[in-house]
Amino acid sequence: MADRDITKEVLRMFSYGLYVATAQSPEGTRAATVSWVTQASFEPRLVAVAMRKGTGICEATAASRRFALQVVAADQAEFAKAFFRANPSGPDEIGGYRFTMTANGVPVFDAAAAWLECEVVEEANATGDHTIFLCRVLGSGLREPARAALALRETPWHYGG
Amino acid sequence: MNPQPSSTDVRNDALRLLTNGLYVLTTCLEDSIHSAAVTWVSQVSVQPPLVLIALRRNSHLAHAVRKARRFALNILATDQQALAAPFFAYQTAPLAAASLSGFAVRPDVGRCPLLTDALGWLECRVAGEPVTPGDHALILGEVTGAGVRRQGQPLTLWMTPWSYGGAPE
Repeated sequence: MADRDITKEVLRMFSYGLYVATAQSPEGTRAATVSWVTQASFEPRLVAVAMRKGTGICEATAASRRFALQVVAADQAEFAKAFFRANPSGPDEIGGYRFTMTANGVPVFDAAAAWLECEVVEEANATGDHTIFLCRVLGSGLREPARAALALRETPWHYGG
Repeated sequence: MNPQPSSTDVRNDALRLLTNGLYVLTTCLEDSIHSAAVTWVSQVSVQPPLVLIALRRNSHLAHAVRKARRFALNILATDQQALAAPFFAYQTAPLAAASLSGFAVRPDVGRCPLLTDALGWLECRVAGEPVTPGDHALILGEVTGAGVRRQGQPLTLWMTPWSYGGAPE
């Protein structure tokens, strides 16, 4: 079996972005920062997103089958930090960030520079501690073209390992 | 009827804002080493440690990984773009070869060959192949070994002239 500390060190050498995921649940809107995201197909366009099992965002996504994946821009570290922990949601804001519902029925923050509206087509990873949601891209938006994305490595934070 | 708020181009633009690393995957099957650069990679579980990789569905690499039931990811440093470049094409060599595209490998019977110049490596056994309607096969790997060769900044795709995302033009 692999040495756990070395495995952790190497897994933290992987490169990730930071994203805020938002989904609707009967109890309100859920938002959480995620980083385990990768595209998974060109045609159709698919993305794979891993969310920790048992979290509000994971349960809301599993139930509603839809969520928005918002790219945190290079100058938006505070936006990512606001959703490291679960926040109580109001009708149109969470953690001080306003959102609006898109035509696809997913909440998108006004602060999001770019986003993907995702629909779950498959769930995987029964043996892992995160659910892998494989998603079709229903729609997307880009408020400010050419804005650079924040890389996890450029922040004081890390995830996983 | 309103125009669709999401055009094909915007979807591609948003997809191209996803951050990925750039890795060289190596595996061995029978008497050959098989390898290629990969970028659609993510950890997907801490306990047990699992990673997900997406490989073009009918590629030589996907077939080799599926048959070998194991693979290694070699992590490149920011100054190793030249090392990555030849691996944009699938590379194969005899298992006994001392190098792959001019870069040294550590051949080791019973294990995956590794690039000795990489920053670090991760060895995985294939733990599953999640169902996907996509043009890339998904391979779930359970980490069975890892090593750090030296300290350095890992390469992300952003730092290179290359991109792999959105939909092909």
